Amino acid sequence: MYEANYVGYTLSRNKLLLQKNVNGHRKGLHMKKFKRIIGGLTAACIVGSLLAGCGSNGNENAVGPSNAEHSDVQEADTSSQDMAAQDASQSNHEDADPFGPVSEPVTLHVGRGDSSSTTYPDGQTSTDNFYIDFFEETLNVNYEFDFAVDGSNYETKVSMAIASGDMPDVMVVTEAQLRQLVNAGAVEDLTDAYEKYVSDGLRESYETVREQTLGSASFNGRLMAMPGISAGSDGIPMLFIRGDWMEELGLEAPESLEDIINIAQTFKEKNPGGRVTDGILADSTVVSAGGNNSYGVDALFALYHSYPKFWTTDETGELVYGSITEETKTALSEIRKLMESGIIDASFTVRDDEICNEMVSSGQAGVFFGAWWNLSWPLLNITQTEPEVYWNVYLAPLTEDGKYNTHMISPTNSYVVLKAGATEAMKEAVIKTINWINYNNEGPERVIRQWAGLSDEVSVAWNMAPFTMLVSRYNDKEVKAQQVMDVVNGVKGLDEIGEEAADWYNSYKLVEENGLAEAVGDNRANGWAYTTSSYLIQSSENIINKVYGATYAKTDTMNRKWATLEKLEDETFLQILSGEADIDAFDDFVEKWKSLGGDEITTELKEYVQD
Amino acid sequence: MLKYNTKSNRIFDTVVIMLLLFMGLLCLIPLMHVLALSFSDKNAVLAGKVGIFPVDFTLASYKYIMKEGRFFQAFGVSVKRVVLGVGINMAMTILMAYPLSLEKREFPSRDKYMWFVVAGMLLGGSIVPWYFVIKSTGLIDSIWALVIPGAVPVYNVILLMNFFRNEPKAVKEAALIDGVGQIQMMTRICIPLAKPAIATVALFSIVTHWNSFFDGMLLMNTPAKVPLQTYIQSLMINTADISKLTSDQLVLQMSQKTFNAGKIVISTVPILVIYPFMQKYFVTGITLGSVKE
Amino acid sequence: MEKRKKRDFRTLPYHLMLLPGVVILTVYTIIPFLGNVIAFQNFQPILGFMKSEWVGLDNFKYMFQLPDAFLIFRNTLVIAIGKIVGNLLIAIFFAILLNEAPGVRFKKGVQTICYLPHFLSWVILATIFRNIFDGSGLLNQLLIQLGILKEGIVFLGSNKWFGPIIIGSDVWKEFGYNAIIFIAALAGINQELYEAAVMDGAGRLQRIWHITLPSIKPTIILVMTLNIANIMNAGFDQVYNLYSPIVYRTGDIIDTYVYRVSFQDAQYSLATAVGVMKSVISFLLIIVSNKLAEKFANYRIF
Repeated sequence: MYEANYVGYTLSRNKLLLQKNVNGHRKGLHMKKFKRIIGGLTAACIVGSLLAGCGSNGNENAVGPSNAEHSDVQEADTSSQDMAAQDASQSNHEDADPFGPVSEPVTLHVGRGDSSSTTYPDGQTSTDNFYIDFFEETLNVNYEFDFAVDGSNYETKVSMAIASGDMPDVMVVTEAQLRQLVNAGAVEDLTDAYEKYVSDGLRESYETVREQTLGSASFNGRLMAMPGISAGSDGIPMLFIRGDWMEELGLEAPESLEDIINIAQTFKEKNPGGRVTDGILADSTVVSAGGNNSYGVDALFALYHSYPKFWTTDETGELVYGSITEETKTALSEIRKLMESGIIDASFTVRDDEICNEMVSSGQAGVFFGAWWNLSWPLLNITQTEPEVYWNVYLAPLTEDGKYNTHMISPTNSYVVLKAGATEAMKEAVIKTINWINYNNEGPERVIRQWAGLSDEVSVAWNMAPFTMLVSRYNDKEVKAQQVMDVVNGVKGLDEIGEEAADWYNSYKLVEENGLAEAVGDNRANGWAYTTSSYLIQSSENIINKVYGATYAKTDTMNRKWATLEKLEDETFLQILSGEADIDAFDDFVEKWKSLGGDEITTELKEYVQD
Repeated sequence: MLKYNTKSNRIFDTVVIMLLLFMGLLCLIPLMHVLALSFSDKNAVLAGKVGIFPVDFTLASYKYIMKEGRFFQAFGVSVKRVVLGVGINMAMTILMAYPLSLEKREFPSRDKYMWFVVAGMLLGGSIVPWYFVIKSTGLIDSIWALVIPGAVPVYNVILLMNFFRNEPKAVKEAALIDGVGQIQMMTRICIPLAKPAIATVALFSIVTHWNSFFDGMLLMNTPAKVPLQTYIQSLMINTADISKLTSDQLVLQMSQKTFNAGKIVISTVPILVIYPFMQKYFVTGITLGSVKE
Repeated sequence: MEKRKKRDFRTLPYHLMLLPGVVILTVYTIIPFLGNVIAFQNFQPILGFMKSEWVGLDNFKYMFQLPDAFLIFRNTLVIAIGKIVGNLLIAIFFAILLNEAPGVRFKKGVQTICYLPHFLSWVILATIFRNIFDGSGLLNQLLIQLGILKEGIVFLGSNKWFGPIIIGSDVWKEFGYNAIIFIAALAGINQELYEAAVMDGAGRLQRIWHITLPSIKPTIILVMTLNIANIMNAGFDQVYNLYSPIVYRTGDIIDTYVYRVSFQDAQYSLATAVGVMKSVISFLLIIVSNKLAEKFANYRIF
């Protein structure tokens, strides 16, 4: 069983917190909905045994090309039933088969969030396609889509549906919307249905980060929504440095902050490529409150044990807001020095990630912090036009005792809710749909592909599912990376790992054999990039110091006062870092923050956590 | 405009031309940049290499935007909306502006109506009650939702009303003497005199209907019924989903900027086409014959 | 008796003409306005208008008691007024230039080009402007080469420059479109006035000053008044796409603040209260402008 290193996570309470992944971050206009479906879990555990392993599933189904239409519906249906039956037989649910049809035919009205990047086969649409057909057949559920709106507008549409009282049965909502709905008694209590119908794999995934997932969806001990799970690695900053420049200038992999500064300095002085203007590239979102933060400097704060925008505990174990600690003051003054010496360009206060992407792509900068997937985008993009370019990824700066500090984000920021007044069958339908979305912790893509008899060219995407919410695993990327490397090292067979991991493996192999430039040219190098960065995290387990938030909750006072507090904080930090204000302004900021509502909120949260 | 070919006139003209050229260029260069972005290869765009001419010319952006039938569907919806909407708008605008432009002695209740209309312009419910009313009147998910709620463009009404009012009284009086009736006064005299204003108001109406995307998003539930701008706005890819994109989708994601540029170009072309037609109403002066003020 | 009947009969067509518009306005504008009752409640969508808790003026008090309330209001007003004035001046200037210019094709061409920036969205313009105004961007490069600056200024990060850039870029974007009204008005000027002036020996500039401008005075006043209604809208899209926390002090406007607040939580009540306040202020300002216009320019707008 994959264990995460819970260093620094002291207040692990098992109760009902109002949680929120505080993501008041401008970069994605709306809260980012992390929707991932994870790959298979190879480390044999309960899940593996329950689902009788992916391998035997493969034998079970009618593999082999059939026609594009699912002609052998009968056979395919039985196969999935077989599979489900097999699962059920090994689970400890009494009567309910978590993957089997609902006890009576039921119709669910759904408000759907689309994605414009998804392509459907000819004649199919987002509300009528093979993926949904599979669910309908397998679960005996009829999905009616009251509305289908593109993802960027979905949240607004949901808000309007809630506000006007025009809600479909099922929607994917944010934490704020969930709280409103619960307060108004508008959503159904799913506690019992959960216990009865949840698949073991899904339960497992929830339980590993119980506090944030089930905890955040529970009110007064009752589960009022099904939380989503997205990858935790999104929030771990990684260091990206121009590899070809390092090679050219004979620079070594950095470990300490001084190493990084040295590299940035050298890039600026020696100006490889001729267009270097910046050392460490940063943008105005200095620290992210959740989610990935490309071009942020979270890692630099963490080096000094400072976790702004997170709620942590101080030495006495008391809850404290990360942005007002002494460590943060130290971090600010140190980072400010980088600005003064020109390592970080003065323009960072007004840049956004689009500009930074441009600068990185045009060779103006060679050092920045980002998310694990940055290695693919935009970095691989550069290799496409300039084949000699390649980037390295590191986990740095390390503390004196060789550790890499990082904050850990909450895995949950969206929830599937069911309108109040639902029947038992509807509850069953919802839970089972989510079971399938989470199938094998990888998602049912492979199953559906076989069921529908589709060739490999046809894209089967997770957001074709009836509910577009990601329910994967917190350590999804690390797991996948491990799987890939297991195959590379001959520990596992290719058919033993999940479909996405297999994709990654194929890409990895391609790069190994043909080199990066060629693979990029074929547009097949992404998997390699994902593997490389994720495996770095995976294999660095013992040096990563994961700092979980003491709480990700949000209180009522926060509604009224958080905007002001956040504005004060963002302004002050940028002013200090840019030199516009003195480091002593920090103390004033702390005073102000406390009096403008910070103390109030801290007390409130402490009470929540105490319960 | 009478001009004698004197030196001072020529100098003046030159200065005017220079200034206009300068302002024109100020506008033209960013426009060309956006146009260039839409025709450039995504890599060049990402690297910020595109100036006012395309780099690595490609039609990929347009192909993507127009790839699906949905584009043309949405286009059709927009055209329908503009035709219906502008028709209704113009009818409403003229029908309201004219009575409001009359003097109090001709139409005593005029002032009351006027304040009502002004209230209509300034007061507005927030989105939630507005949505609620539209839902209650059963317009959701139909083309009428896009046309009826905004049927009265008050700003335009006030504009046109003022224009009517400022039409030379002499002409109106002359017509009265000739025995013209109420309705004829409106149709034969005031409206033709107001051609530039009507053209202006029509243009505003067309542009508003063509450009609006928010109501399309909020009031339409079926993807097929969505107008063009709403559809185009939706072609954005959420950065959060990046690692879940297939390779093909990733290519699309990288081209985000070219798509945005392409969207703007596509949206603007119809407007560009319409404008020359409207311009003829603006440029011709209206001489009033021998009426001396 | 007869006279009254005649009058009623006469005005009937007018009432009928206004009827459809009044109905639509009532249903889709006035009635939703009543929904602003939310501003006085602690609105919970599920409970609806009827059952949500009544909090009276709390939302408004909260708004005015915010530590930055003054700044936010000031910024909104400064930026909005700057835009109104700037837009008006440049639009009129442009319209007159066009009016004076020779060559129909040239005029049409320039006019078309200049009204197109209106259609560019701020999302794409923001990137362009960020590039231009960046510390190592075009403008700074130019200024350094010309010797005006020694090192680059981060324009968009400077509280001194942010406001002017917002105003200036908006004027650039809108002047062509805004000029349309004036172009239409100019088209209606009696040409004989000019002929008479030429006879009297008036030069180009004099003709503009004495004939052109006064002739469009009503239009100018009208447009200005109508725009004053917008004084609380400093341009959310634009500011949102161009600002950053370091310029909150001069750049944070009412709408961006409310956006962040409702982003944290669906604060319908607060957002609505802000909307109500904006409406009330606009209404008052319009009445005042109307009176002023009547008094000083002898011109009734409404």
